[in-house]
Amino acid sequence: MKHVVVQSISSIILYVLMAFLFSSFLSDMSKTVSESDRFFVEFNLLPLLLLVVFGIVWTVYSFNTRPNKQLSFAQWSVRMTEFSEVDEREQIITAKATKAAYVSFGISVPILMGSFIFYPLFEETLPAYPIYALASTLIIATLVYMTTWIRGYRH
Amino acid sequence: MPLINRVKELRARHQLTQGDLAEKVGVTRQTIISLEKGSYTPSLMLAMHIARVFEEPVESIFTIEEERK
Repeated sequence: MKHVVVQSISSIILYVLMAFLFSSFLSDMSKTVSESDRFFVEFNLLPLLLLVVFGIVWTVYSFNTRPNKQLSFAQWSVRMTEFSEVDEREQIITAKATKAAYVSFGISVPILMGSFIFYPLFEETLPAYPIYALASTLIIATLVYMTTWIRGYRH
Repeated sequence: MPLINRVKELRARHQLTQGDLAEKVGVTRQTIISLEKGSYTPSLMLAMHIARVFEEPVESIFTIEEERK
């Protein structure tokens, strides 16, 4: 269970850092200055640095603590690290949690799509809203997956 | 129809810990705990592995509650 909790929280941190990075890029791009024949772009490298550092630490930790030690790095890297299917019971719990996360997309995506109607009203104050809205669908689904998995495991 | 089992009783008789049994049948200890509590219904394959460990027929270890009455 610890593996699923750690990996789910790590994924959420990763999505937040990605949203931070892209919103930062968006903000930097809008500040881009074009002077006659020259074009200047300034990027804040802090979000990228945070993402890279976290990504490296997370990759090393996750690979070393993977439940199925027989998986090579190539096989492991294309799987969701939150999945834990050590035995048949965990496979059933993972299936239920994945289904719950899928259902959560069916609820969160239409709500967020609806919220875009009001986007022109707050576009200036929150220009990166679409990025955070997309990140939040992933975060909600991951939280739903994690809570359903914990509940199933403790049952 | 809940499935009831004699795993806890047989495990004690064979002097096996939950961890020992889990290792013998290739599942986690948590699965054995859930199975003994009756909150998890095992697959036929797992039931047969357990039956093999205890050297008893599957139907003597796992019974549908209705059949018992």
